[in-house]
Amino acid sequence: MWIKNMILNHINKKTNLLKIDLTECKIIDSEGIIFLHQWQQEGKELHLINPPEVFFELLEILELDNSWQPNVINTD
Amino acid sequence: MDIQFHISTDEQAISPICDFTYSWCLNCGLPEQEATKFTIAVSELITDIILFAYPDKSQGFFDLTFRQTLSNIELIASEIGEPFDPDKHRYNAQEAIENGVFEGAGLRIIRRFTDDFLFINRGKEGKEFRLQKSIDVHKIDKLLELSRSEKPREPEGQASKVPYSIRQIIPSDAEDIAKLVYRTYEYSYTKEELYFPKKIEQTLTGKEKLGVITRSDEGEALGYFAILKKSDSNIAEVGEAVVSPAYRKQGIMSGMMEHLIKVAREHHFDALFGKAVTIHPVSQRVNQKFGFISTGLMLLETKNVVFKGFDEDYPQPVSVVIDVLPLKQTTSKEIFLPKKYHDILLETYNLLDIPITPKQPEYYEMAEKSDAELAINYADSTALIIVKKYGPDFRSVLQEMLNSLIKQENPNAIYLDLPLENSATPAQLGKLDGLGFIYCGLAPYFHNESDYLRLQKICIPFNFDLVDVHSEFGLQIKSFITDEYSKHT
Repeated sequence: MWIKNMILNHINKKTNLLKIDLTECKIIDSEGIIFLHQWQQEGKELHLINPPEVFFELLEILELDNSWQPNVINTD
Repeated sequence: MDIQFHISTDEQAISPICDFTYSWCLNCGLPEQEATKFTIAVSELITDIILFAYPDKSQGFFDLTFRQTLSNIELIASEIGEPFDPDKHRYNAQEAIENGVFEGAGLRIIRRFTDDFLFINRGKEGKEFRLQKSIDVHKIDKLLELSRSEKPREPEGQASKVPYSIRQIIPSDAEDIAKLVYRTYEYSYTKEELYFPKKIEQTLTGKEKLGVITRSDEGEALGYFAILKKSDSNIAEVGEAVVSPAYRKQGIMSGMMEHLIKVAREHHFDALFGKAVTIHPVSQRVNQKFGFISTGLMLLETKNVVFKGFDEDYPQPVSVVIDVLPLKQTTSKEIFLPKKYHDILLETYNLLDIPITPKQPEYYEMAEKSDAELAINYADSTALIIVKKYGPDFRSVLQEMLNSLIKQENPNAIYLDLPLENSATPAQLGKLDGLGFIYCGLAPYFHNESDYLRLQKICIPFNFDLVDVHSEFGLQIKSFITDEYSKHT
């Protein structure tokens, strides 16, 4: 939620590509997932760098894993 | 230990609470991955409270209690915002994918990332959410496998009578206490902290408990007995009684009890109480010998435990007799005895030699809203509800709590404490008809030095014949409860 608000403060209506480095991120909640899901559903581009394992578990729990494959970049 | 926060519904609070939760989880012994999941569950909950509990107010408040035992952690969130029913907010993945409606997503995550999620609607008192996670301490079994050779040596047969002495415990006794507990209960004792010498040492260093240890003249630990101060009243429980099986029947338990009573008097406790198991009569006999009076019988109070040398195949949770020893002289106090239990309560007071003036209220005052505290014992599958105040919503609040507990927690028994010094109790007891509560006993001085009528609701099939009660009055209580139970079933 807090991260979502921080992102919203740094983008504007013209922003079409969101590249988020989640390397140091341990915790993500449903607000974050919903925001990212909606972003991509709006046809905008999304790149997630090193999302934590729990991110994928959340997609499974919310049954989004089959319909939504976010663009993930693993740098490790 | 409880840690409590009173927090405003400000989004800025979410991040620091999550940081705290994560560190707290790690400190309590959760692995990193589990700590992350519990923190996410907490984040979901407080986000929902902050965003939705107070829609018409710019700012509201909520309370968080972080509760830790050795075997589990619990977060209790309470707020008095807008009414809410989690069952009405079920997540629908199809709706989320097709229409972007994610209602109930947070609740689904909470349920998946905790071992227990309990919601209780307390009416005007607000709402309470409890998230619980077990800590895997059952690595004890693995430790046991690894250290078979280091298992405490069990003396063969009955040892001959040995000279011994009893003294107050000190932190360096911790390891021997853990070994004594193992010898008596193997690994079935419900207080798992007693298998961890370091934990015992901490409680002794912090003076959280007082106790005595018996040692032979050669220094071997033969027995241990403790008194544990109740957190909400100036009374203490005698418990954690162990005597090495080979050294039983030598008067060790009695000697330790005598010491404990002396220690309790020196610390000016109002009373001592014990919860003596009914799987065998030994503890009850010792209590009776020292003047304890049986005041109640709590059915299904604790999970099965293996007592070496006693019946090791007990087929139901163990019931306990509440034995009480008043330690101070008191002046007569006004007690409001409900008619239904008037005689048995009065007799209990007489036996305890606690002077009371029984009153029948001509009228009584009620609080604006009910106030009841709930404590869940996850390890023993029981719950205790302590009524602090009666409001006009008493029955509905209680009904809601019971429904939530039974539906979500599946407890063996639920106990209910009603304040006997509150003039509304006799009338309010009548409002419990149909909720399935029966008599349990008198709980003198149990909360804030005040007396309570304890009732109980039995939630699983139960066999009274297996409850071994020793004292004459204990048998009278058992018979009273048996009659009431049979009328209810």
